[in-house]
Amino acid sequence: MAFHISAEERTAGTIGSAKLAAIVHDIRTVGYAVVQDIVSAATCELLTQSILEDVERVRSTGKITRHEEVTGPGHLQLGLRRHAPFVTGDLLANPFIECVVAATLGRGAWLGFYNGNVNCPGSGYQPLHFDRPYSWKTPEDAAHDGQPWPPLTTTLSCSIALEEITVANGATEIYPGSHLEPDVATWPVHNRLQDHPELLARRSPARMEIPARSVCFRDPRMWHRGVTNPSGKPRAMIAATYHAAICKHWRGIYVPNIPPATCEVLEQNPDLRIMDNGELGDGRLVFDVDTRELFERENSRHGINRNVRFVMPPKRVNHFLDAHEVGGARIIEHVEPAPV
Amino acid sequence: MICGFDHVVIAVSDIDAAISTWRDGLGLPLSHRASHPDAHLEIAFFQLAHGGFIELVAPLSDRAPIHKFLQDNGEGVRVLCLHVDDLDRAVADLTRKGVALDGVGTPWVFVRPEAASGVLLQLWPKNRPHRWRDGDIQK
Repeated sequence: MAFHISAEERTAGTIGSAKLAAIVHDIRTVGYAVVQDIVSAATCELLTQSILEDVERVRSTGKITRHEEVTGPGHLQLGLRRHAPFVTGDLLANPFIECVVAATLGRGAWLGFYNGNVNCPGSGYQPLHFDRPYSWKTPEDAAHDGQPWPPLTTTLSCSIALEEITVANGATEIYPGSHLEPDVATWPVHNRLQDHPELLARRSPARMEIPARSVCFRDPRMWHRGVTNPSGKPRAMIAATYHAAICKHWRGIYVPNIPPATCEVLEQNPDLRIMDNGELGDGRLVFDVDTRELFERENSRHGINRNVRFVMPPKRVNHFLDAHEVGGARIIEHVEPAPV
Repeated sequence: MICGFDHVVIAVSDIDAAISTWRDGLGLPLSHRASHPDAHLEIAFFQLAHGGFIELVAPLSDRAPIHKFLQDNGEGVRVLCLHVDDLDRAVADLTRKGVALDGVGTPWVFVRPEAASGVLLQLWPKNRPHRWRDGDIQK
């Protein structure tokens, strides 16, 4: 269901409680909800232009990206520019986005991923997949932590439409309600959905169509895949992913049974996350220092941790590289950002 | 290509009331009824004498896939399922014509409503069995 923001809500920078409850209900039951017209046209125009320029640069290398190799040709996980003026408050300090995130994941939720998602002409079908496993694998584990079964999501994906996203330009195929399918909770790694036609038979697919300047809030456990873009031109979308405060791994994974001493350190320093090797490290996303003001102009009124740090010249961020590594981009020095 | 009728899925909010409507009111014999708590669905099937069947689907909870459809549209036809001779060939033909499809590459392929006068069409290989009627579904 699509939700509209009223004039009063725009003034207040928050969403009324009944509407917010309905949005959260849709996310929890259907798997997604769309909130319309909450990003400015100017931001959409600026980011679209920069993304199309960067797609050209990526394609000029003549190489298929690593992400395309894994998931399907034509679907680019494209890093977004991490310097002014391309980082804007209505993307990363947006009160309506932060309001929905807080209502879904709780206060203290943190931004863990910020990236472009471009569906290029000639793209293929990705394998059907989900982005996140269940944070609790059994009803007993969930009950131990006060969770229902199936458990609530601990991650929320925000798909920001810079232009109208429809079937005509390759809107993502989704299986509404599939995030509540507990059979997948204990699947071994690499077990693929297409190997389980009996699960697919229960559901019919739909498309994640999003009006321009609007945001689709999605439970990342919902089954989905990128599909062909028949429009003849790249379709740009932005992905921002938030994790609940209880998720202490830098990728937003819920780690049970963290030793008390480690918990204490994490509580005292919210910038720290558990790294892949088990040690603690700075898990914040990196941006050039010229973007600092927009993040710090006003604290999140909804208690969201924007989870960013800044690099000073001569260091800067190469947004083309390391989207899925700590920091979400590579820090470089004395060279220009480039795709290779 | 599309060559026949397989079944129609009708979303209903109360399976007992709907069975009464179709069996007692319209005179169709109830062929099979099943409850699928894991999928939060109740289903009833009415086999038609000259081929094909009618499938009534009702949600057991708001977690059922059909729940949102009922909320948005009320009771009514959810899916019209039509036979194809060869699913892969049908998908290729329709894709070449620019028909919007969902589920391509899976066994469950649908023609989107905007490409079929507002009806969600499912393409069903004509030799594919139905578990409730031809196979091992719970009785």
